[in-house]
Amino acid sequence: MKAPKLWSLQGKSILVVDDFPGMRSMLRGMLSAYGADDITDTSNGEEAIKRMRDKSFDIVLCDYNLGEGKDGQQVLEEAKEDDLLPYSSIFIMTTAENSMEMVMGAAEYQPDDYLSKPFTKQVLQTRLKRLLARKSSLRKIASAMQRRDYNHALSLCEKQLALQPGNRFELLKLKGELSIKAQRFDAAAAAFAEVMAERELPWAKLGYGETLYHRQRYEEAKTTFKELIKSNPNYVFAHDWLARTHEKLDELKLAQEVLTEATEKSPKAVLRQRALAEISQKNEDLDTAEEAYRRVMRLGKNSCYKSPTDYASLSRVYLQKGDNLEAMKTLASMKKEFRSSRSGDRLHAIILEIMLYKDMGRDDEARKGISEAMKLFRDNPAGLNTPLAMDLASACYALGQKEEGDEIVRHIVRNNHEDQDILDQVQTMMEGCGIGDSAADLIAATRDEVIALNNRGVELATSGALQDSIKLFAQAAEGMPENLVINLNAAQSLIMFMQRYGAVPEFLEQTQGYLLRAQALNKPSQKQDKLQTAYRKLVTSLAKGMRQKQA
Amino acid sequence: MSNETQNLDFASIIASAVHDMKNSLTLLLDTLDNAAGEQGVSDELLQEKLLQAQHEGKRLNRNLIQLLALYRMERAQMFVNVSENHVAELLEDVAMDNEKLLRARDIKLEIDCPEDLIGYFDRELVCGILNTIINNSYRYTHDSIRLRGENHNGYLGIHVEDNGPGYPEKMLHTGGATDTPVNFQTGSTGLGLYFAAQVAQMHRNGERKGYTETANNGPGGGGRFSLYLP
Repeated sequence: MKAPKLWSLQGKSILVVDDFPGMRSMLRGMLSAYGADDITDTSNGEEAIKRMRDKSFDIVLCDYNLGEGKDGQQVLEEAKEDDLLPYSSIFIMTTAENSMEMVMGAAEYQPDDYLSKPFTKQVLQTRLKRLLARKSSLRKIASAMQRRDYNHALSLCEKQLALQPGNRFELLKLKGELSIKAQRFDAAAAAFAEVMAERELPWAKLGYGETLYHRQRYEEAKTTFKELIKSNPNYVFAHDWLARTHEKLDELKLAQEVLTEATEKSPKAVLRQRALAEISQKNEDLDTAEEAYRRVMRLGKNSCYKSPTDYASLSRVYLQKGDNLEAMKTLASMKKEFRSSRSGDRLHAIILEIMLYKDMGRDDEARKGISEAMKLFRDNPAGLNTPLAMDLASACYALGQKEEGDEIVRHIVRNNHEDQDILDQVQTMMEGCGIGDSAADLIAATRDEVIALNNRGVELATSGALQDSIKLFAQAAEGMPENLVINLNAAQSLIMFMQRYGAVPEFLEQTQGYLLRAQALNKPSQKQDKLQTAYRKLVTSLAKGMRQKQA
Repeated sequence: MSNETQNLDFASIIASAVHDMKNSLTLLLDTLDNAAGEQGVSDELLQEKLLQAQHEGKRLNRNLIQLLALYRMERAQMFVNVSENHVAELLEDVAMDNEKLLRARDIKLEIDCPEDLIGYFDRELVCGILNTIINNSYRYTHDSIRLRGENHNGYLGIHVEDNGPGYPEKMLHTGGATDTPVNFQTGSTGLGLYFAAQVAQMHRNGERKGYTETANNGPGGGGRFSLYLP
């Protein structure tokens, strides 16, 4: 068939994932016929993720069934979770089955399109053509989302909606989801309600229910989710939200029932199995908890959802059952499983281990764990987040290792010097360990250090020594990855520099890094919004400058 | 209990066999497609044979899908995956899939559908139904087939009309959500119509259910198949 002259895949980076060599070469052939000249292919999910880390792809064609290891859905989840797949790129799942399990296992993320085998060159072309056109109409919104600048993404969304486009429902869905992310729940509810007024689509009703939940209207949320399940018994997301709602209403038994039903319908979703495990542990239904945690581990093995917490919780379930042997075995397999992981995960595993040993009364093993944990922490302080640090510090004190405990407490305070809640928690924790007397001094002294450092940086910036200020904040932020003020000031000094001397790509990248960190802390502020806007202007100015140079 | 385990195993055996067969079919169809498009293959007879082989391959695939789906329906494991679809785009896709074969027989394929018509249905299943019905029309029509999409009293109506002799008396039925008479003696067409009716019924919106109709009021008394989705 004739390949149209105007449309081509030239210059698009494409990743093909299929375990069947014949299929890979066939897809290569099909894509080349439409001018594709940048195709990478691979036979398994692990490799696919690696390739996506090295390079960002415009189009990913991934088979659902990839034999051993990750399946297509897990590739999609991990890619989305780790930000390897911007909203602007296209993920197409090719499948030879129309199976329910596949569609339902599709947990938090859906591909842009399914393409069922067998398909022809022409079908592939038509689908790609449409998806590329659709994505390009959302290009600006996508890049705002990529920066997690949800407010800007939302205002772009509004602008497009005002034009009454053909993809109005898609935009309304996006608007609803973005509004939830920006914690603007009334706006989100309005977007979903607008869809429902025309047609009661499951996703719209689910979204609406979510907004009720977030606005703490739990009884109404419960009714909404129940209705949704009644008319769409296989819509598992509705079960998830109903379970969460029951939990908020302290109806833990009901929550467990709902989740049991959902996991029967969709046995492959890790997060849902974990939710069931956690709720049944709370209900002291230890047998169910044990089974569910085991499934979490099996299903999560190749996925981004693998976490030492599951092993530690299962170990706890065994302790509660009085089976110390199994508890120890589970700990051993956790250690083995996370031996070569990122240092954050390893540290996490060790801290969980320390706490379990402590509760079992095996103090020597717990102490050995502490010295291991301290070594990892000193090598990479950024790997220790606040909740874990709290556990570690309290274990140190409980085992009489005050020096180590203090070191960890200083780390906590440095990262949260303005967060009174957390500082109070530290105080309470130390009081609980019988060393409340020294707590106030330790906290205050550390806090003052951070304030002094921050003030010095701000002075440097206001006196015009911007490069020194950038250096100071960059160094500070390294040791205080969770400190909101420090990260925002690091971004600000970079922005001030670029506003004066012009935007440069590597500074923009650093700025984005600090803003993303701040964003992840989920404490929205006016200062953050302002910096976000300033950053966006700099990005645009750089892009314009480059275009002018080209011309 | 043991019985259930056996059934489950059989279900996964079927699923994995179908999976494998579909991979083979994909390669087979692509090879045929490329062979037919190769320069120098000008032999008309060979072209005709390649087309026929492609056609049979597609039929094989449709039957596979239908069998697996009917097996699942019987075991209540079948669910429709409803999404929002542009009907005109869908009809174009289906037309493109059949274009070569129809052209070889000088059969004209027309599409008549408003650009902005939106429908809510399981795309794969509906495509499968339309392909089956077109395949049937292809065998009986005189020289044209028309795909029509419309809004019909709040339902989405999709019609496949031809100008052949029409459906035989015993295959005619008018809609409603009631059971559809099926005569398997009519071979794959009977199975196809049965499948279509089942899939239509699985599409629901509130109290309303989908349904199918066959009639002989196509252009010049030809057959008309209609799928109505809520």
